[in-house]
Amino acid sequence: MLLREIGFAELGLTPGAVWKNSGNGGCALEGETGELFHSVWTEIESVCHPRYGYALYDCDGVDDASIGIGGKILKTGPVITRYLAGAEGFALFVGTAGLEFEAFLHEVKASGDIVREFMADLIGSEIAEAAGVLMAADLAASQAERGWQISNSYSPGYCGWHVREQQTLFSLLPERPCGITLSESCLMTPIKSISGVIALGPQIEKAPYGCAICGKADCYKKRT
Amino acid sequence: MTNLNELYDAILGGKLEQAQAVTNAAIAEGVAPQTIIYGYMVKGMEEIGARFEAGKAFVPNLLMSARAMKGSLDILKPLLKGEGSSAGVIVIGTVKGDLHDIGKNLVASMLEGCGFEVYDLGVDVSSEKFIDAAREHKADIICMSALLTTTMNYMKEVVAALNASGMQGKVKTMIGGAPLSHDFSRAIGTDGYSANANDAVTLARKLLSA
Repeated sequence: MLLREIGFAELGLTPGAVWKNSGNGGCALEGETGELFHSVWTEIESVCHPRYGYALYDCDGVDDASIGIGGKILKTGPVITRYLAGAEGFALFVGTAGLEFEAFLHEVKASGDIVREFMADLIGSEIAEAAGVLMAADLAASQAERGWQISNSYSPGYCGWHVREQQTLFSLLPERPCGITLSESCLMTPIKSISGVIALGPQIEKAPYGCAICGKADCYKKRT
Repeated sequence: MTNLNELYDAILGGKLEQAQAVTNAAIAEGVAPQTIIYGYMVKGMEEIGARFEAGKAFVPNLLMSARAMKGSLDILKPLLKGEGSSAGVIVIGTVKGDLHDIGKNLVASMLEGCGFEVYDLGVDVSSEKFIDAAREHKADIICMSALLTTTMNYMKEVVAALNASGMQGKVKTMIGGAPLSHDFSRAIGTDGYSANANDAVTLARKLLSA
């Protein structure tokens, strides 16, 4: 498995963009709110060590709702699986804001300051997502060397891929990849972590993800 | 003489230091804590809540106000012993199997900021822990949170445990979390669902006045 620690600056995040991306654009990042946010940002910047890792596998097969990989079956579900068809290989990945960030978040929570906690939480989410974006870019560059392309990244818990499948996914990775562990209910610790699969191959294309591809009528994400 | 309207403004604007300074000055002048709280602080929280509902304020504004309110309440609390200052007692937690807590913490903070006595049980909370805490703290409401469709169903077990505990009817139940809804609340027999932290305060008040 390829494992990499990422410099905070490499994530390409800025306070203004993170604030806006987190849905808070309506609230100006100025005055006491702005000061607090920048202070939390600086603290995180000094302690955070984001990481990513991925393991490459050959494709054992793809049917309507699952993929074969490493002698195991991942039940990725019909919505996601159609975007994995044609794969000649797969990358199973994790990305995380890291154990140091997790410890910082616990400290902030313990302080009882809900505003700082809220800010740290949303920055942590963006860090984990940015680690995933960087991982995908690095993976794409390495696959391009052999003329292969990569799909979008797809994760358990979304678009009909049940979160319990995390157990199978993690069984195909080394123990505690990037320091990440799974709870009994298949949630990751550090909580600001991501995991999933990316299809690889010369014919693979990057298709949309999320609500754009999922017709699940009763999904809460479609609620207006 | 202290201008207590500055306290209202500080709560509304989410200015912790200003809120605490005015509170300290008012106490020094002998203003009754209940007057400070209900005449100015709660009104500031109600106004920021109304602005939030109208789309004129946002979650960070709510939280800044709740933080300022809590900071001032912490100063006033020692002066309130025995005055029945609490709007109600709430035990709150994220249900068993679920580790997500930011939404729950926002709700707890808003409830506390609006005068409720809140006991936060944390995450991964079992039905036994909810019931034991409700009994120990003489709770009026059990407030449950879940972020996942796989963990939200555990709320049914908490409702069943409450029904078996002899506290059914005496202790209300309310729920919140991204995948939840009024329909789900009705289906599992809780007393209400709230879509956000401000709505949770409104719901808690409504349940306790019913």
